[in-house]
Amino acid sequence: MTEQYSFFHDRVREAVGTMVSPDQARNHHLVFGRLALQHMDATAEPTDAQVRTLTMPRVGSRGAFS
Amino acid sequence: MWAREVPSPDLTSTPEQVFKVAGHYRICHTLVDDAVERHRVAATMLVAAQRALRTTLYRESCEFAEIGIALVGGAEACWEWKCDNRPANSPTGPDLVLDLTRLLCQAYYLNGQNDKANEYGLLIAVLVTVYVFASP
Repeated sequence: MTEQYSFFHDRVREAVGTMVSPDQARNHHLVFGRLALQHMDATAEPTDAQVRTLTMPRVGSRGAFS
Repeated sequence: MWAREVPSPDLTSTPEQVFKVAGHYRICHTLVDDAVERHRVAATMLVAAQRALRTTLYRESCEFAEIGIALVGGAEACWEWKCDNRPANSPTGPDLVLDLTRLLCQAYYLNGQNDKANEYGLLIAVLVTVYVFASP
């Protein structure tokens, strides 16, 4: 994911550098922003609440004795 | 293309990632159509504005918060939502709008724009009143 993101980062940056139309540049920023947002979601560390959910035993489960 | 689930604004992402997303969407935020994406970007803008404020980048903080408020339809939309007129498929609640407006007021004050800070301070007072007294 990171390699793919870096690849697109370089390609889009090159493309934006050669753009002349503001609309085209804006569209590329939209694509690039969505990629960055996706990348941020994929690499974010879990929050405290999520960790607590993962480590809490499930209701109704009996662990090793079930 | 983006994550369909809508997480709350969290501080677990690195500042570089947050500012990268905010930097792109500050140019193209008018092109975003989907309500879920608008909410997600507005939440990211809130985090970016908080971090900009902490690092004394007050003007950037104002800009990020303004874009966040514009993405969720304006601070006055809070009143509409409390009257159950929230736009369809919109996950944004009044909490995010209140946080963005409060942060924008603080950023304007710290940036020396007292007129705008007072304006948004009054708006926060109205929003909080609506939020408290119109809650079911």
